[in-house]
Amino acid sequence: MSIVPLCMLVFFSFADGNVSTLNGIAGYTVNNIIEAFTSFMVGKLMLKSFGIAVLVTLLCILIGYPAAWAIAKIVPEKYRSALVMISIIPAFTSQLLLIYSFMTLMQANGLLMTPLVKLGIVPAGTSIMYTNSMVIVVLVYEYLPYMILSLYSCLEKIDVNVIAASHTLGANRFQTFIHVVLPQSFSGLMTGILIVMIPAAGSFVEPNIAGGPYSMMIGNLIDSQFTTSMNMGYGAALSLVFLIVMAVTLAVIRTVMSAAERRIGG
Amino acid sequence: MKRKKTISSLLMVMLLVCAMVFTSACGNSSSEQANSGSKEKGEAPGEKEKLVVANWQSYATDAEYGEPAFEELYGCEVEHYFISSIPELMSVLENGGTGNIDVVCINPLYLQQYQNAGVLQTIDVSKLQNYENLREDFRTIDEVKDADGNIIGVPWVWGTTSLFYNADVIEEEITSWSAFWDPKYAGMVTLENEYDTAIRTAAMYIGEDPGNPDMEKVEGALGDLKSNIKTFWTSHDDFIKAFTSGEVAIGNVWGSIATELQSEGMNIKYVYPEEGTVGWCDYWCIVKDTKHEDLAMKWIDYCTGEQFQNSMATGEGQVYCPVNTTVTENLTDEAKQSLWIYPEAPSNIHLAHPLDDETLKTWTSAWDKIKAGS
Amino acid sequence: MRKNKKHKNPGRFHAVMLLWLGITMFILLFPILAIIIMSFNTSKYGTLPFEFTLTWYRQLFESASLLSATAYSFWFSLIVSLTAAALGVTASLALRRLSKKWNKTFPTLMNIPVIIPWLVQAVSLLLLFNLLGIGKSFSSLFFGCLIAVMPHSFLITYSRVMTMDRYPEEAARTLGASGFRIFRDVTFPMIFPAVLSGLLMSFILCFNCFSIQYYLAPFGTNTLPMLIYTTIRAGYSPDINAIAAILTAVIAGIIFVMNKAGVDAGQLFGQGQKEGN
Repeated sequence: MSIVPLCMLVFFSFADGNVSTLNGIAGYTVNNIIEAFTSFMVGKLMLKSFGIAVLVTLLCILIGYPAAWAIAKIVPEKYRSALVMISIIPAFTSQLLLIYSFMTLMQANGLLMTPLVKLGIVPAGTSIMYTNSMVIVVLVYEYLPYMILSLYSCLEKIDVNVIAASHTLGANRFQTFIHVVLPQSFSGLMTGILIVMIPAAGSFVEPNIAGGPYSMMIGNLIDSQFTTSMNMGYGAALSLVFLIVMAVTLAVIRTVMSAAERRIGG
Repeated sequence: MKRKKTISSLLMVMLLVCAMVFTSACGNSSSEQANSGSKEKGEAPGEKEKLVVANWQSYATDAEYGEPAFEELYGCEVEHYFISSIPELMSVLENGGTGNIDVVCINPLYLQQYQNAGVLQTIDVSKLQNYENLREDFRTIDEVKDADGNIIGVPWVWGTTSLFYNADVIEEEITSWSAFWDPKYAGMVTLENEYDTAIRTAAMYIGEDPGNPDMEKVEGALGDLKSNIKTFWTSHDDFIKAFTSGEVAIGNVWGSIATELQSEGMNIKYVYPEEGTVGWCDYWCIVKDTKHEDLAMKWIDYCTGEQFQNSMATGEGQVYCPVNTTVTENLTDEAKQSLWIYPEAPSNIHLAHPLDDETLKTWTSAWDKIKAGS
Repeated sequence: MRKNKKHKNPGRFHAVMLLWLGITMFILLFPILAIIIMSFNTSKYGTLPFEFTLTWYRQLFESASLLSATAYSFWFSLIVSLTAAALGVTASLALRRLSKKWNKTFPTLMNIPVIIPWLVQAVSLLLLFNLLGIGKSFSSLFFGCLIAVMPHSFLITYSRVMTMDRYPEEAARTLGASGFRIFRDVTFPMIFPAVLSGLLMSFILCFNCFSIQYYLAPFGTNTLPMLIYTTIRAGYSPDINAIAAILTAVIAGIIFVMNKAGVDAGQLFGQGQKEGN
C-alpha cells in the first residue's frame, strides 16, 4: 500500500503537463526530470530548504528533549499521559489559525517584542516578521509537539534504577546522560527527526504566510506547479528529486547516529 | 505494576469515548448518505433538485442574498464546493468533477486551459433574461467564446487590484506605481503573490504593454523591487494581518479589501495610478455533463440579476462592482465611492485576459524565478 | 514496587527541567489561548482594546456549517487513527518475528509516503481512485488519509516494539498464558505509551491534512481544514476562533475526565486483580 504513491509519482514525472482521467495524458517526456535535476534554481532552493529543515530539527531536539524528559521522568506518573495530550491540544485547531495566532505574538508591538524592547534587549521597532528567521521559528513551534511525542514514548521506558545505578557508580549527570540515557533514546530521536525534518523541508504554507520576499522554499516551487502553473509533470519530477535528496540526507543521518550509538553505547 | 493498570484503564475510557463519538457520528453520516443517495436517483418526485456551485468562500454567493434566497425562490437546494485555486479546481473537474459540479466561477486567466480540457459547455445566452443588460465589453470578448463563436462564460463581478497606502504612515500623496520602487519605502511594500497582477503592474511601471510585455525588462524591474518588499500576501486574511500589524504600508490590493478596511475605520487610501491599473472580471461557466442545466441557467441569471447585483454592490464589508448596467446606473454616489468607481470607473484599466499555454508557462516560471532569486 | 530514589531527592536539576517544561508548554499553548480570548473580542481583526462579545458564538451556531464540518473531521480522524494504530501494532509485532533483512527493508518502504508531499500524494491518489472507479468518495478519503498517516503511527510503535524487553512475554508464555492473554496483559501494556503517541500523532495529522481531504473528500462533504483554508482566501470571520475555542474546551475536558477516571479505574482494576491472584 505504501509503494502506491511512489509508483504514481514516478509515472507522473514522465507526463507532459497535466494528467487527467478525462483526457488522459498529453504525452510522455523526460524533460521534466532533466530540468529538475539540472536547474540551478532547484538546486539552490533544495539546499536552502534542507538547511532550514536541519536547523528546525536541531532546535526541536534541543527544546523538546528536556521537556520530554521532564514529562517522562519528573512529573508525577498520573499526570504524564494528560500532559502529553495537553501538549497537542493546539493541533486540534487548524495549523493555519495557530500560525496566524503565533505571529501576533511575534509581531513588532506584540506580547513578546514589547517586553524585550522595554528591557532594552532589542531596539524599538524590531520585528522578525516576514523573514527567514520567522519561518524557522514558526516551523519549530509547529513541529515541537511531534518531537516531544516521539521522544516521550522512548524516554518513558528508561528504567530510573539504571540511572540511579549510574550515579551510584560515580558518573556525573553529563556522563550518565551520554552513556545511559542518550543511547536508549536513539530510536525515539530517529522517529522524531523523520517526523519533523521531512515536512519541514517540504513546507510551503509557512514561507508563504510568515516569510518575506527571500523566503521561498522548494515546497513553494512544487506547490506552484499544481496550484498556478498547471504543470503537474514538472511538479512530480521536482518531488522525485526532493525524495531522492531526502533519502540521501536521512541515510547520512542514520549512519552518523548508528556510529555514535556504537561509540558511546559500546 | 500500578502504572500498567492505570494505562489499561485509560485505554478503556478512551475506547468508551470513541464509541460515544462513533454512535453520534454515525447518525450524522447516515443522514449524509441519504442525501447523496437521493442525488444518485436524480429528481425523484418530492425530492429537491440539487445544484453544486464551485466558487470562492465568502464571495457573495454564500451570503444571505445568495444561496438561501435562490433556494427559496426556486425550491431547490444549492451546495457550494469551495475553491482553493483555479488550477486545482480544474484538476478536480478533470478527475471526476464533471457530472458532479454544475456551475463554476472562474477567473478568465485560465479560461483557455479549461476550454482545451473540455470541461465546459456552451451557454445558450438567449435563455438568460439579464444577459443583454450586462456590460458589453465584458461579455463580448473573444476569449469567452469557443471556436464556433458560442458563449462559454457569463461575466459576473469585476474589480481592480490597484495601489493602496496607509495614510497614517505615508503623508505624501501617491499617484504612480513608481512609489513601489522608491527607496524611501524600502521594507514597507507588499505585493499580491500572483504572477499575473505582478507582471502587469511592473509592465505599467516601465511603460510596456501590460498584455504582452517584454519579459526580460519585467523580470528586471520585479527583481529590483524585491529589496523593497516586506512580504507577498497570499490571501485576504494574510493581507489584513500584515496591514493591521503595521508591517506594511504600501502595495497592491483588491478594491474590496480596501473598502472593508476603510469601513472598519482604517486610514487606507486606494488610488488608481496614472500609468493605469489592473482589473479583473470573474465569469460563470457551466460544466460539461451537468444534470441540472436548467437550474444552472437560473443560477447564472439570478446572480447577474438586479436584486443580487445590487445587494452585492451595497452590502456590508466587502463589496464588488456589478456587471449589470442597470444596477450600476442606479447606484448612489456613496455606493460608487465605496466601489472606487466615483464619479466613474477609470478608463485605463487593463483587464486580465486568458493566457495561452505558452505565455502561461513563461509568466509562471518567470514569477517562480523572481521569487527564488536573491 | 518500583523504587524511585529521585522523588526523595528532587534537587535543583529537576526544578530547572520543570521550569523548562513549563515555558515550553506555555509557548505551545499560548497561541490557542490567544485564539480563545479573541473569540470573545468584538474586533474582527483581533485588534485591541478587548471588548467582550458573544457575537461570534451566535454566528457559529446560526450557520452550523462549521459545526458539522468539525464533527465530521473529528470522528473521521478518529476512525483513521484507530485503524492506523491497529495496523501499526499488528505490523510491528509481525515484523518482530521476521528475519533481519525484512526488518531493514520494510520500515524503509513504510517511510516512502512520509517523504512525498501531501499535495502530490493527493493528486496521484485522486487519479488512481478515478481509474479504480471510486473517484471522490468516503472510501478514497479514508484510504488516502490512512496512507498518509499510517507511516507515522507505525514508526513510533515499531521503534518501541523493537527495543522492548522480551523477557516478560517469555515468562508469561512459560507460565502457560495464551497468545491473546500475553498480548492483552503483557505486550500491549508495555507498548501502550507508544501506541498512544502514535494514535495521537496520526489523529492530529489526519485532522489537519488539508490537501488530501480537499482532493479526495466526496462532493458536499466539508472537513474543518477545508472550510478554514477556503475561508481565509477571500474573507475571514472570527467564528473560526469560536469553533477553535469550543474544540479546545472539549478536548481539555476529555483529557481531564480521562485522567480522573483513569486513576480511579486503575485502583479498582488493581483490587480486582489482587483477588484473582
